[in-house]
Order: sequence, then structure tokens, then C-alpha cells
Amino acid sequence: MDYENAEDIDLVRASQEGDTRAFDGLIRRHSPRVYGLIYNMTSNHEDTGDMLQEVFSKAFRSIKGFRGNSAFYTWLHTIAVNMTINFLKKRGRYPKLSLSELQEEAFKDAELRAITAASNPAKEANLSELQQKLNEALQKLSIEHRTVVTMFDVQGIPHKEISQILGISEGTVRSRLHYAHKQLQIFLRDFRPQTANQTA
Amino acid sequence: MSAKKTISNSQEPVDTAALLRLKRFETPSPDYFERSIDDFHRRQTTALLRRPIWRIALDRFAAELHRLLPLPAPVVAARFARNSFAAAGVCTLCLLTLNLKPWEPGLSERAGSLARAILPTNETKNAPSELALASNSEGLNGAAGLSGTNLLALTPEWERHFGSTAPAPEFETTLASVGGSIIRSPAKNFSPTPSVRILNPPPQKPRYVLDSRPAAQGVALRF
Repeated sequence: MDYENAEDIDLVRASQEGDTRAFDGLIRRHSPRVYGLIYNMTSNHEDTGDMLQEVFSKAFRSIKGFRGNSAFYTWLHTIAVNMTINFLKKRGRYPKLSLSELQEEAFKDAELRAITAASNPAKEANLSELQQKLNEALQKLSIEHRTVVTMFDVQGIPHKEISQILGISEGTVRSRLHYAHKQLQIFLRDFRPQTANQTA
Repeated sequence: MSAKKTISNSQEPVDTAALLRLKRFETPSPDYFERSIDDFHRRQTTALLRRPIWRIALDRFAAELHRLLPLPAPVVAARFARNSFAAAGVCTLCLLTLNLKPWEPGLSERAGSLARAILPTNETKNAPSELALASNSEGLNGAAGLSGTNLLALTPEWERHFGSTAPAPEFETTLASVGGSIIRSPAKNFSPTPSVRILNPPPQKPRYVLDSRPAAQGVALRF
């Protein structure tokens, strides 16, 4: 079996029959997104590493129970979200942030540079400051709202899939998103866009 | 050409979606995920070694069973229920056999008490064939084959011994009466239970008869 190019469902079937290399293929394929989901909910790199292991351990133990009624990706995200929410409830409200390094591409992103430059024109674009403020603002949101924002705005998961993963209606997803965006606008008002009108 | 920069309305909302784009760049290097797989393997091995042997054996047995019986869950559940029912039946039979102890004498008494424990008295009254069956199994004193009706026919014999004025005891036609009074071979440790009650207990049969009064009923040391 070509573990690199095989479909998820084939890798799942092979894993159910005890092929651990197939499960490695699933981990390799899905760990960046699962990491992103957990990290953006916890804002802590070390906690995310531990949680990632726990999530894949749980998935490995439960893989035989996966019937294929939903996509493997949805099933895995459901495990990750539930475990992370339980972890966050135990951890407490004001955690210590431990942020991942920003990728080089972030410094080349024109839109992000424009936002940071506009927030403080006197300074050079400071993405690290924005990163810090952004994570602090996210941690001020409730767990439910942070989860929805992470999945929709950061991960790019559509409303319908979010509703499947969280087991709530699409209307609830939209309403939580709306409220969370309002809150974030208050927390991040320093980064309000400043339009420049140029007149000749 | 002169450029004039003006600040727009300060109440304009923040573009949160644009800000949150930054979060997409907060990802570790690809090496991190490769190390993560190694870490996952190490953790799994450690977790496996920590488990008790019986749990490992149970899991292997379950996996083997799953491999051998790739049947749908309802079929497995139905077979499990059927086998459980059969097993319960076999266990009940074994317990009954152990309770009756057919290798020891007095089977009919034990069968009687067991029947009373299981069936109400009315049912035992209406089941003479079962009484006969219980007697037949032991074959005591030639009374085997007596049915409930035959047992009641012994009442005239009582009148011949004690006269018609003496009230005849009323027996309940239960299995105990077969073993205890009619067959006249009571068990060594037979004790009547409330359902084997004798309504008017008969006087003891006299062993010696002196001047028409049973010695057992006369005054002691009377010469």
C-alpha cells in the first residue's frame, strides 16, 4: 500500500486490521491540522504537544469503532475538540502563553504587514506584538466561542462541519461566531484599520 | 503632488478575520511532526508494557474472536442470547440434580419439598401423575404407581383400626404425604413443613394392647 497517497478510508481500514504503518500515515497527514486546532485553543505549545499525543492515542485505541459514517477528519477533530475542551476546563481561565514561532511567510504577508504598520505607523511592522495580543484576546473568550473562532477563522472549516464536530446546530455556530467577533473587536481595538485617503 | 493622510472614523470595526490570519502562520516546523510520530510510538510501547498480562491476553482473545467472527452485531447478540439461555438451562438442571441427590435414599421426600418450593400447593394437588412419577423413581414398599386417587382410598383402613368415631386425619395430597405417611417409609430427617401440615394429627399407633386400651395411652405403671 502506498501510505503517502492512499485515501483516508483505505488507511483507516488497514489500521483497523492492525497495520500500524497505515495509522502512521494518518498521523502524518492530519497532525498539522490537529496541532493547529489544539494550539489555537490552548495558546500553549507544550500543552499542545502533549494533547496531540493523547488525541492520537485515543484515536488509535478507538479506530476499530470507526464505522465510516463521517469523514475520518471529522471524527478525529471531534476527539481533539472534546479532549481539548476537557483539558481547558481543568487548566483554568488565565493560562501562561507559550507561543509557537511564526513562519517566515508571515513576515512576507502584505496584509498582515499593513495591519501592524497601521496600528502603529511610527514603528516597524511588529508581528510578534500582534501575535501576543491576538492570543491574549483569544484566551479572553469563553471556551465555546474560542473553539468556534479557531475552527472557522483559523482552520477554515465550514459551518456545517463545525456543527457536526461540535454536535450543535449551524445557527448556534453562526451566533457564537458573531458574538466572538464582537468580543475580539473590543479586545483588539488597537489594531483598527486606518484608511489613508490620498488627494492630489 | 501632495499627499494628505487622514484618519478614518475611529468606530470602524476591526477586521478580525484579517487579524486571525496571523494564527495560521503559528505552526512548528515539519521536523516537529516527524518527531511527534516517534514520540507516539514510544508512548504506545510504554503504555503497552505497563498493562497487566491478563488485559493483554483479553485484548488478544477479543481481537482473535473479532477476526474469526466477522458477523454483524445483531447476529452476534442473538447468538449470545441463545447460548446464554441454553447455559442457564443446563446450570438449572445441574443445580436440581445436586439438590435432589439421586444417589442417596429418600429421593421422593426431597423431590416433594422441591416441588412445593417451586409449585403452589394447589398445583401439587392437581398433579397426581407427578406424584406417581416421583414414587416410581424410587419404588419404595411397592407403592410405586400409586396415584393421588389411590392414596385417598386408604381411609377405610383407618376406620377399621380406630373406629368410625375417631376422626381420620386429613392429608394433603402432596409429594410429602406420599413419602411420609402413605408409603410409610419416611426419610430419616423428614420434618413436615407448613405446606405438609396434618390438619387433625392421628393418635400414635399402639404398640401393645392391654385390656382394650393402648398401653401408650394408659397410665404409666398400672398393674
